[in-house]
Amino acid sequence: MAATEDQLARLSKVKDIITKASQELKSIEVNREIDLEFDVGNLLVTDKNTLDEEAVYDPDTRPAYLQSLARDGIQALMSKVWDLPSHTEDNAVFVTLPKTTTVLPREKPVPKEKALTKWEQFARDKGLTKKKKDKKVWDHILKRWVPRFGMKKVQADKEKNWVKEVPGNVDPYEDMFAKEKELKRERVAKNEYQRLRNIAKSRKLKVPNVGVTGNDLATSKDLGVAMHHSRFATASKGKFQPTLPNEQVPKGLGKKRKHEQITGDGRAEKKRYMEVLKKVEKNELNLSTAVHKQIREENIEADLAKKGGKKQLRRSKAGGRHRTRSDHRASKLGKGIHESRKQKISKIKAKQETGGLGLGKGRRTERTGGKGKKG
Amino acid sequence: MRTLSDDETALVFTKLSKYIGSNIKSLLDRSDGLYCFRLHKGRVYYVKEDVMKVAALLPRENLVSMGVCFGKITKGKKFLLNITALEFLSPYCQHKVWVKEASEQNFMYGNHIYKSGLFRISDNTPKYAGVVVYTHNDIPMGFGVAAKSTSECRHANPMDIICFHQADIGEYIRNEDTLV
Repeated sequence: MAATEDQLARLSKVKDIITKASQELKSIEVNREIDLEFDVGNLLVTDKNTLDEEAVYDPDTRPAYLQSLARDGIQALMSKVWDLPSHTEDNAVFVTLPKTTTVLPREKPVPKEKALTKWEQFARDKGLTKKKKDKKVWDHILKRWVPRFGMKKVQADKEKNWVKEVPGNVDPYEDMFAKEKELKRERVAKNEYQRLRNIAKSRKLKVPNVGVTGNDLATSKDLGVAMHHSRFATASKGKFQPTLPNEQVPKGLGKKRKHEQITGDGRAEKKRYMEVLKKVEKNELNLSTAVHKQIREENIEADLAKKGGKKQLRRSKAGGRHRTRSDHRASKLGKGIHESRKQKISKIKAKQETGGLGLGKGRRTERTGGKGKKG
Repeated sequence: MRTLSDDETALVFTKLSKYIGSNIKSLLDRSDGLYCFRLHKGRVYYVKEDVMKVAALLPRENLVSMGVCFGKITKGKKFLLNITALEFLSPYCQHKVWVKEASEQNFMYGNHIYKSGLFRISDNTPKYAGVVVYTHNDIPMGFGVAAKSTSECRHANPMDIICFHQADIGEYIRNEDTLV
């Protein structure tokens, strides 16, 4: 009977274990109102159910509640992972995760399309297609198959072109074969230059386009730049370079203007303004001489108009003609430039000393006088 | 917005000196701070440096105006003075023209000043000098260019033009859109 009691105890223990296990098994299943969303590839589980507000707002129940939510989610995810086909290596179980379903934003911007080279652009515009070329070409002069390129091709060409006709207008002593060779070398160089230029263009580098290739490639602008360089690269920087009879001096390269900083030193800027102002005032001074001249002429005209425009002649003891005030002034109008200018300058200097315009009677006393001087 | 090059500054100062002569110094030497000139969309602005520093932060398309617009520099490298500069020109100007009440309106509509409308003209005004035009009540109304010097004015006919119209305060209404 003791044995059966033991057995009973063990049985009940086993029962407990089974019920416990079954209960635990239950907890493996996760049931929600809204099904959980899985992205097994990223090991991501999304729970879109509404939260139990009471449980969340109460700080006592919140941690336990949130933890239970998290546990459920991860349990569901793990069950999905275990559902995947697995294989074992070195006592470790491996599972290949499937492809991810969430779309992540790009880390880097979309790569730009490669820019087409000039030839590719042209081919596309014209609708040209790439045609497969054979390695060998039938040469009907040599009556055999000649490679399209390479050493054997060059030999074949030599065979064909063993003689060259010299046209009538060409210098007979010129080496035509050497000339051909030279032209070929130029063509190869041009091709190479164009290839490098395409590369530079795709990498946004600058390439000089003057003096590198022959003149067939140059636009009028390029030629102008080349001409500018040829003039400029002299000791006097093109200033005293002689020109042909109808040659136009090239305009030269444009200079990029550089302005001062917007928010630079305010005091330095003020200084610059003052310097410019000085220059402006100097120019204005020249203007004021012209103004002076104008005023004087006006006064003379006014005086002459008053007198009726006649010059009064009176014989003087000295023998010369006695001239009135207006006559003197009128004569000065017709005088040589230097005399009248000298007087004007001396007047202006005197004016500067006194300060400001001093029209009217005060002026006349300062005049150096024209009685002694004859035009 | 950019600073004025030396040529452009010379342009502006030459024009200003026609009206205010040597008093340009008082525009630059101000007790209440450093003032500077800046070019924005072809227009020259006279602005305090603090204000300018803030305006420099704005994008070009969004900045409409700053400080006082003095005028604009045309493509042909000419500086045209704007009516908005009147506030700064009138206290420092050297030559003035006063206009009778009857022809005030005429000038404000953009017409030139005739001898018949002339009330008073400052002494020793040279011909083609820049003048500020005042009403008979000493209110600055605009500016212009003296077509005749003071002495010539005395002998002029009533229908002679004695002052060419350059800008008037009526432009605030007439050219509202383009004034800035």
